Amino acid sequence: MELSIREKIAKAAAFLKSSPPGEIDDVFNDIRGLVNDDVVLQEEIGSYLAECNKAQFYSVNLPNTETKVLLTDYNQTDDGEFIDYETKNIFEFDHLRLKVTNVRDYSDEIEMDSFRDELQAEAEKYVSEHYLGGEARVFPNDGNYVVCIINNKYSPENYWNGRWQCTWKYDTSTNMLSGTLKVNIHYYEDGNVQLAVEKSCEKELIPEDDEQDLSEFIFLIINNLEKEMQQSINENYDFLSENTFKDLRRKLPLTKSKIDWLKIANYNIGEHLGTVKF
Amino acid sequence: MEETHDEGKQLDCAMDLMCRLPPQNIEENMVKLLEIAPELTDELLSSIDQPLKIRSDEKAGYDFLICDYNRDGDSYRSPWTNAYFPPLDDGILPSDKARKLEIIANEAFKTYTKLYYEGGISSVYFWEGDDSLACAILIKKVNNGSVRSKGAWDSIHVVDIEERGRQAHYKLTTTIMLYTLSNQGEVGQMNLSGSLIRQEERDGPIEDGSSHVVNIGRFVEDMEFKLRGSIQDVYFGKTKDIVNDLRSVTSQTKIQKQKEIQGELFSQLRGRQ
Repeated sequence: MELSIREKIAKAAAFLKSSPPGEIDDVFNDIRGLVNDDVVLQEEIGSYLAECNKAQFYSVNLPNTETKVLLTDYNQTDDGEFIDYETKNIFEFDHLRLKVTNVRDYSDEIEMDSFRDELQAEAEKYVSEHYLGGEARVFPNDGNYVVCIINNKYSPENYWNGRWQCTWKYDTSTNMLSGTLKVNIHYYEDGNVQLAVEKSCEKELIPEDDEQDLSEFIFLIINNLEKEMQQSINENYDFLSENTFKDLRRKLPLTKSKIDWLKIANYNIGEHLGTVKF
Repeated sequence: MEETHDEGKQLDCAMDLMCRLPPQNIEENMVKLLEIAPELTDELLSSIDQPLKIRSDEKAGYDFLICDYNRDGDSYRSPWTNAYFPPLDDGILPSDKARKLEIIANEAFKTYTKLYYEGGISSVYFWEGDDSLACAILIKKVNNGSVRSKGAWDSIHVVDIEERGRQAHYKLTTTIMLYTLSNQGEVGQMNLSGSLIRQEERDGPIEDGSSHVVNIGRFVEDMEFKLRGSIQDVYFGKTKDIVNDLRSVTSQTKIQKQKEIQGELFSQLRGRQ
């Protein structure tokens, strides 16, 4: 039974979620060519693109501002609009055309939150120290706080794209800091090689009254946890290269010299095919 | 005409998609792709390399590797006994010439695999057309031994052979798929996987019935040597550098300070001269 066009689009749209860093457009175009029905595609694909853009912290510039806004689940309203806590604006986003529209002042709706502002200041400091070209945004979240960090690097001329992404949640009532980290790399010169790392961790913090001290402390812990994870990645690389890879295929054969094909091809004829005439 | 154009475009999109989607899920993605574009089934199965699967030749008591080249319907031909599993009465069989080469090649590559892979499986298939001769050499090695990391290596070599009297011209297309999974330390789950493809051409002398196997053997050995180097470089060099380029363990302030100290040292040294 062949699937209906809508079912096909739903299946194809699921591919969008696993598109490598910076390649959503390419994957979208492939899906478009595959299903070959622009009308139905336009009707169906919007919600999938929205999910992908949020999952990958797609960053946009509001008109006439320098700062970037990340599209995430944490700054989206129930109506699907996005809030920028830096400029205190709200806006709509067209996920198919990647366009910001209907930007309005939202300052009356955003409560004063000096702790968020402290965290945001620390987040920017932290990102400038460890993620050249990266972005970080802090969002209030039902009395708690979420820090979203993203660094994308695209180098199509060298056939690679990479993304490092983390989400940290600070629970103000339990003092728990929990994080998920994701690293994805796509290398595609004469092939398709991808690194996928996923990790969650949490740590209970010592309570701290001063907002500035607490913000600094939170980012000290974030730095430690991320550093540990990065060092683990590097150690795993070395282990893979020195052990796993070598055990799969040797660089030289057991005999330490290249194979004598004349010998093994003819030896085997004698052994197994003595009667075969050529 | 319109339809063939569309299918051509559709196939291009499917191929491009498979070059982008995570190789970790290649089999799952392939199933979805075939549901979306069932009209491309034959083309996709023959042009997208998938991880090699193992079947057992119950007659010979050996395992063999399966691919599109030894498939007829739902059965696969074993290189050890030339029989199909599950049994197939009228399964396509190679010509006498192809089968003779196949027997020599399978024995030779069994030795090759023993010496380089220490425990891998290999299978070689030859087929002859009206005016063509070709073969596929498949090698698989799985390493589940370590708790800390697992790995699998699949080599797929396809050789087009053009006989020109006492010479032959070989066109070799090699795909090597390498899958690794590690979970040591603070890393959670780390999956580094994918495939590299390379194509080369070469001539070789034809002296006797085993010359093709000798020429192809050397060619494949050289190709695997080169690609193993590329894998080492790409997997464990380049992608690692990118990780450490995305996030720097050392803070920019420290890096800046180190640079200043180096600069000062340098100018002091120059001042002394």
